[in-house]
Amino acid sequence: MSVSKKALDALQSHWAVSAIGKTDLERAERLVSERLAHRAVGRQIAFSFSWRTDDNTLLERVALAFEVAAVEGLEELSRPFGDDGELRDQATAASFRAFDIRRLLPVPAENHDRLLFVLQLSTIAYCGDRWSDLRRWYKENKTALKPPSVAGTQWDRRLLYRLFDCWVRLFRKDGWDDLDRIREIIAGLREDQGHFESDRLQNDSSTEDRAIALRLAALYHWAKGTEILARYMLQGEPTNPFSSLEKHFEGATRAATASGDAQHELVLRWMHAAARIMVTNSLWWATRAVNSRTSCFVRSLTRREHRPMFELLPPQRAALLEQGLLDQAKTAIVIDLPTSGGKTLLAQFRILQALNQFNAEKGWVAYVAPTRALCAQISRGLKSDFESIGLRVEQLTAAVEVDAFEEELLSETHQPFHVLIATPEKLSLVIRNKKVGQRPLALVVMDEAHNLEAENRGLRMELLLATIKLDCPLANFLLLMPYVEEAQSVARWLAHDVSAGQAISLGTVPWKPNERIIGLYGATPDDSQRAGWHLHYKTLTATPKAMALAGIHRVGGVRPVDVPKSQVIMKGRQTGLGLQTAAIATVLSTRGTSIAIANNIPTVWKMATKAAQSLPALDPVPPSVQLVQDFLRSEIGPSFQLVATLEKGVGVHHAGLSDDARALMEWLAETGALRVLCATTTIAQGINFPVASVFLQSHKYPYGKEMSAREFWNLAGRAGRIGHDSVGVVGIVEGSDPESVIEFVSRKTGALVSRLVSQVNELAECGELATLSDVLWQEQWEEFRCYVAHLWAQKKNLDAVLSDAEQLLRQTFGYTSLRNDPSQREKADALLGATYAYARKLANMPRAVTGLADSTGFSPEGVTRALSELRKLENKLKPSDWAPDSLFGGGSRIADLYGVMLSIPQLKRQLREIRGEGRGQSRIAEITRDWVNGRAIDVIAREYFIQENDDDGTRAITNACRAIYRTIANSGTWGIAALSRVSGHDGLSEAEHRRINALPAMIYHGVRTEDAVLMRMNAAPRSVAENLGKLYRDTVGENDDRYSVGQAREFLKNLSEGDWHRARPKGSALSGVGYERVWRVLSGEAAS
Amino acid sequence: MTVARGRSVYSAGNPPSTGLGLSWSGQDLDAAMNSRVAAVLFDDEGKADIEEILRGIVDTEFARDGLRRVLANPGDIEDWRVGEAIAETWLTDHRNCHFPWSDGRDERKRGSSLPGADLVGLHIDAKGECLAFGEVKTSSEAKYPPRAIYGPTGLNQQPEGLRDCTSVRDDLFKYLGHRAMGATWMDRFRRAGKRYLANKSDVRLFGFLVRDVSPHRDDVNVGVARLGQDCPNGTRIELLALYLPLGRLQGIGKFFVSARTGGVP
Repeated sequence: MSVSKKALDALQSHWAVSAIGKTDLERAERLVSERLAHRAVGRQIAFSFSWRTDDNTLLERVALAFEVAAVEGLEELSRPFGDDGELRDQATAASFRAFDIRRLLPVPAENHDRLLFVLQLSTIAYCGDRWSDLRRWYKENKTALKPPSVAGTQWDRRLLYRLFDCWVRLFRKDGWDDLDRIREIIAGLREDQGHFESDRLQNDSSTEDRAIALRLAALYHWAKGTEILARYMLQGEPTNPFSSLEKHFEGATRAATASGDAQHELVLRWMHAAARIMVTNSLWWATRAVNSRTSCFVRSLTRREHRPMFELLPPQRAALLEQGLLDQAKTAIVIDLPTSGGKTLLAQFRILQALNQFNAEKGWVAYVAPTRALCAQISRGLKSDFESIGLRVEQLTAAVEVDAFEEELLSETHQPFHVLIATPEKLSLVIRNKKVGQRPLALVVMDEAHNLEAENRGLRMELLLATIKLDCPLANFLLLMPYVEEAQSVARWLAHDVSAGQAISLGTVPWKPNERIIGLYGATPDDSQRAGWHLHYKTLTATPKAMALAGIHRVGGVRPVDVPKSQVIMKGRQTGLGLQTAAIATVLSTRGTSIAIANNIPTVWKMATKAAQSLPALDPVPPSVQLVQDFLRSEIGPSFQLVATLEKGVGVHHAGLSDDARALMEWLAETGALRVLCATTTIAQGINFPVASVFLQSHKYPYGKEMSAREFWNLAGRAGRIGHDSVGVVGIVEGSDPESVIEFVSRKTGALVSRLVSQVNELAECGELATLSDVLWQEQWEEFRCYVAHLWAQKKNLDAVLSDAEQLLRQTFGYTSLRNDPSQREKADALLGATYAYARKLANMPRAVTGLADSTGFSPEGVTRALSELRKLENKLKPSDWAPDSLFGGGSRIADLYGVMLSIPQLKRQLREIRGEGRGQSRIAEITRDWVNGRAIDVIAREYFIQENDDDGTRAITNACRAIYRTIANSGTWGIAALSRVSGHDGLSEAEHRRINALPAMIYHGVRTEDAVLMRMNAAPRSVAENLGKLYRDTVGENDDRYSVGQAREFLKNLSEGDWHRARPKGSALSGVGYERVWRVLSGEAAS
Repeated sequence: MTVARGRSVYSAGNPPSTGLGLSWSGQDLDAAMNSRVAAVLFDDEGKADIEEILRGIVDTEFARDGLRRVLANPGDIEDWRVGEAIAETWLTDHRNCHFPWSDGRDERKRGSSLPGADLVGLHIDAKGECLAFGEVKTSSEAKYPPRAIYGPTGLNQQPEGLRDCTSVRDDLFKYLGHRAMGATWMDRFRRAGKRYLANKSDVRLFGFLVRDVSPHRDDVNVGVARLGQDCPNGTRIELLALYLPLGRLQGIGKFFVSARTGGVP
């Protein structure tokens, strides 16, 4: 049972705790926070705390009170759950609190005391559900863990020291080998017994001989218990280790009691409880009754080299063992878990369970993530975890189009994929157009599902889930989200029946991945230097989501980035907020990667430049950084500014970079190779890796829209790496209105509100609810129109649509919420009325329109517009105009197509950002052509985006990247694909069809051939993709069978170093091995 | 029946550190040995089942022959253990002490990994229950004070360690806490625990010297003075010397065993 807030509150009235007195308890609590902060960040932040000489005495006393409360329930923790839940909760909660204090107290110097201290701290950590904090303490206190030398020691001490060594291994779980060594140690002790035992039993006193004999008996039992536990953690055997563990720990305790050694007895009792908890925490235990696929997965997790995993975090354990995550009867599960609480593993278990449940029908799982960066991250993770157990994981591109290769991938039956990763837009197309054939969708996992309430795409996500409910009746749902209260209502909406929805709400449990400090930072004049200034950091106490620390503290030295005071304080006002952000991120980077966030790309570059100027060079530059530098030189251009900032360990992350470049930035940040990562606020929606600190130049998105409290805390939650930092640091620049920032930070996250409801409410607030049918044409209702059109496409009959309309709306979270609330009935009726009205409108449109809307993702109005614009073209498009050579060659019609796209509501806003003057749209067409034809980014940048005052061309490259990766890769590919469908291509051969269907993918990936597309789909860098494609074609032959994503992946996997070298473009900064390495990182073939 | 308080032969010091010399007659000793002291020494209920412990070792895959050899023969009761039993009963009867478990029922912890106390329990004073710790030494040596007073395990040093070393007291407190769960004395322990947690120096310490030589105040004088210096606020220390009739300590353990097994002492 995990520690609960109720149990922690109950502790306050425990006799031992209350004996301390309220004032002292409060002071101790404050001291714990202050010391933790000081220990974690004291080198960077000069905290202004006032401490007294007797503070340690107070902390010892309070820790003792909690320990006595814990000791009272120790027996309960050593037994199966059920006897006395209250006492058990007391022991867990008291251990939780005792650990908070004990970990901050000094480790005794004397060996024996040190050993007992470490064992005591470790067992308290286990009993208090703090094993992840303990592992961090282990990392910070390596010398405390060193087993004393056994040379010349007496046999009982030798046993104790060796057992200490074993238990340090059991607690830290550094990997398979670390644990496996325990077996050898215990076997060695059995051998040693013959050499050492008899001497130890020859004392002057028979009483003493007897006491020692009993102590040895206790130690032998302890050794056996240790061996059993280690074997279980490694292999999950025996299936139920409790009876053996109990026998030996009880035997040990009995002998220790008989020897009159109170300390030994108590240590053993704690060890017994910790051993039992370690078993129940283990992956083996949590999945023992599931299925063989899950066992294989657990085995692979325990044996993997990078971050092996043996046990569950408390919220994971609670979800699996207490809250029915794997209960098949629960068809919709919503997990509200703190950021970094380990959601991915839970999703993995649920995926395996669903695949197993639908094994006979070859069911598949859809994993939806809101951004392509996140999709790519998840894809890398799942591939590396699942492929070793024979599961095929595929990621669809973020292009809003299912291209020819994806069609093949989705319909493959010989070796079908198991898990499909996609953005909501893409999955929507897959579902609406039934691209996966007859295979049932077993489970939909939606990550970062709190985006359901997001203004720009919340409605799309909600309607995707509603469509799945309608079209895939067998599908189960798993929604992952942070900081969502009342998640039960979301679960009920998705569930097949009332009892089948399960909300696993662990967002507010006392356990945290790590502690967090939050504060405002700003610049303070510092006259110790000419034009001097330094940073201050005011810690906030306004939110329960961070440690309550008071005070204003100095950060770093004078002029932490080399700019004069006037650039950060102007006439007494705070200015240069980006510089201040770069400065604090730089100072804090000495404790691990800092993220510095600004709300626009130019500021991000400025921050990166300043941060890089202030930091010493990396000496040496790590190989991973060098690799990425070479990648950027090859893919973007040798003079790209990021290459230089990386020299100092400073990276950037924003929309002006390719997906690959961003993925590599994430990889560097994740592996700790970056000091500072400068990013735009949009990273809030896509970041899924932890860092040491997060600083925000603004809590607003571009154009001034504030982040929601949930988004902010999700981002802030990335501060603190679960295995490394006991404290994550979060800062927001105070600027000129610190009060509003404080108010922002103290906002509550609240329940999730459907975007549909928000939109209806907005109308109602203006008194315009009755006009809903009239405003349905507006952009924010586009998704809703597509949703209704989908029903039309299926029914093709007005009466049928009208009769099913309410049923259709009932599938949405928004309508359900309104309908279930009597006070909102009027709004529900308005929505239904608008649906009827729109259905009638659809009835008057040509029949093909709704079908095309489904297949293109355009709204019916967009399809109608496209058809009309295509008809208007002076020269009608012929099928031959769509051939790649024609479209991307000289005299192509691509500019005409862009002209049509610019008239379509869903495309025009983005495309307008880069179109040239006049109707010819030649600029965007030429950029597209150059891109597909393999021209390097820096060349395209110089050609089309160069501006004045852009000496190093960074702005041009940024704009080129944005144009290509954001606009052309999204709207361009979508538009081309959709228009090609709308045009229709009757009478073409299959190969011609395929080639036309491959066009969007070529644009998306920036390559000219289908073979190169296959390479890009498998994460090969663009600069080598054509050469690899050729090698592929040469290797497997020119037959059409080769157009298989899976086959192409196998080809890449089997390439030798020499092959990579041969494929490497001449003059590329990346070597053949470098290309291979980058490919491994991007494809998830190699764990980071 | 309580054991005899004994005749006061001297007293020393002032609170918080005091000393007291007491003398027992042969009758006093015999009465105590036949009743309360024997009960402490031969508490069968609390005695460990050695055979069961030995049986369990088989499953550990360690050899058990060596341990069996040592544990098979219960051996004699050493004289100093009788001294401890006398101290325990005397403190229980005349100093309002309660020692929840007796060392007599355990194998001795000499060489134990715990630097603890011979006696661990509760004491009642004017404010109610508090923790009580006792150290006991038994000596027939005709020196004043005897050598058992000196050194790290001597009667001067050990109460001083208990007085100054909070970690030892803390460990013993936690252990008492564990044993107290469900015991008849749980509420008493909690009352004492509250006092201890409010002030970790609020404890009662006893040094108990069991002698069979002529009484002499030099046995306690130096210790009383030393323990009185820098004594933390709340701690009360008493050094007691109980003088048995001359020569009665030698072989007193054997006497007990023989008496119990029906043999002639």
